[in-house]
Amino acid sequence: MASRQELSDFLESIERRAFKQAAYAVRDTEAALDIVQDAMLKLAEKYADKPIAELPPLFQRILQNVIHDHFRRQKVRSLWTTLLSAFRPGDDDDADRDPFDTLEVAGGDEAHESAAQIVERDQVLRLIDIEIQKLPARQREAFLMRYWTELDVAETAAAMGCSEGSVKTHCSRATKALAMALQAKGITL
Amino acid sequence: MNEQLFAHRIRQALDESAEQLPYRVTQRLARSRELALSRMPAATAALQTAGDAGRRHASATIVATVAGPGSPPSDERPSLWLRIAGGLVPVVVVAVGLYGIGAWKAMQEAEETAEVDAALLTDDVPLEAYVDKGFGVFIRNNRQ
Repeated sequence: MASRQELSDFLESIERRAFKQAAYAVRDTEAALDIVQDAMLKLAEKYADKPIAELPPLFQRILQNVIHDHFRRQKVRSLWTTLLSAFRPGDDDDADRDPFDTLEVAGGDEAHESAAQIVERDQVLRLIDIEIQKLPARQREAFLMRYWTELDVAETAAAMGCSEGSVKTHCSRATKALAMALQAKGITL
Repeated sequence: MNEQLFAHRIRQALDESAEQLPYRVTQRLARSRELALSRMPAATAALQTAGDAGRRHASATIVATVAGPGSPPSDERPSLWLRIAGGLVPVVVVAVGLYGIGAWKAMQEAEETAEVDAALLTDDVPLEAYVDKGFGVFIRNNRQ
């Protein structure tokens, strides 16, 4: 059973990655924050009695389910929005907003880097974010779970509800697609 | 291309990007974390809190938790009672509703019976006629 402190440490260690995973999927900062909060609540309410080692794959599965629920609700909501849109003035201020538009540059070792290096690095990070967001959903899920949240192939397959072979295929395709996209933009990692 | 090496470098970039999230995002994430921790089941939280506070406090809390009422730590009690109340309120409302409907129906039937009794008692036809079988035949034949 995970203690309160262990659960707190675990949530603190994964919250930023979980937010970015959700933001890549739903492309909306507020929705991504709500999704992460829902996932954390479900984990704490229903699985706090699980051992700490089981929490990472559990949380990933919960996070993916909450993201899928978000899309299901959005389908229903968009149906009503479409029906009622004729009676409402247009409000597209947020339509083009990108959740990765506003990034605070963290303090740290910037004094040792030139401004040009900082800007260049930020641009590279932003391009990587954009290309990851462009990946097909399943490839992105597999890639991020496997290589960013460090789940093994079996855990990733369980979280995604697919076979281990599918996970490996998705990861391989995602890696190739990312490499090609970044190379086309002149970025070599 | 070495997939593992490439993925490792992407991971480094993603970690760096995650460190640059806006303040309002990181603050909201911290609030979400605190909210989630507050929702840990009372028994789990009580045992873990007791473990952190020391052995004597731990045994008193655990014994009180097993023994009976009023035992959860005071900061958990509102949450536990609220949940119990939340589960009982709909049951009570349904029970009160059913009782009310039953009482209203009984009242309706009593009123109808009273109306019939009043009509019988105030009618010109004597009461004895209603128990006479010939009177019943007379009524049926004349109705047609």
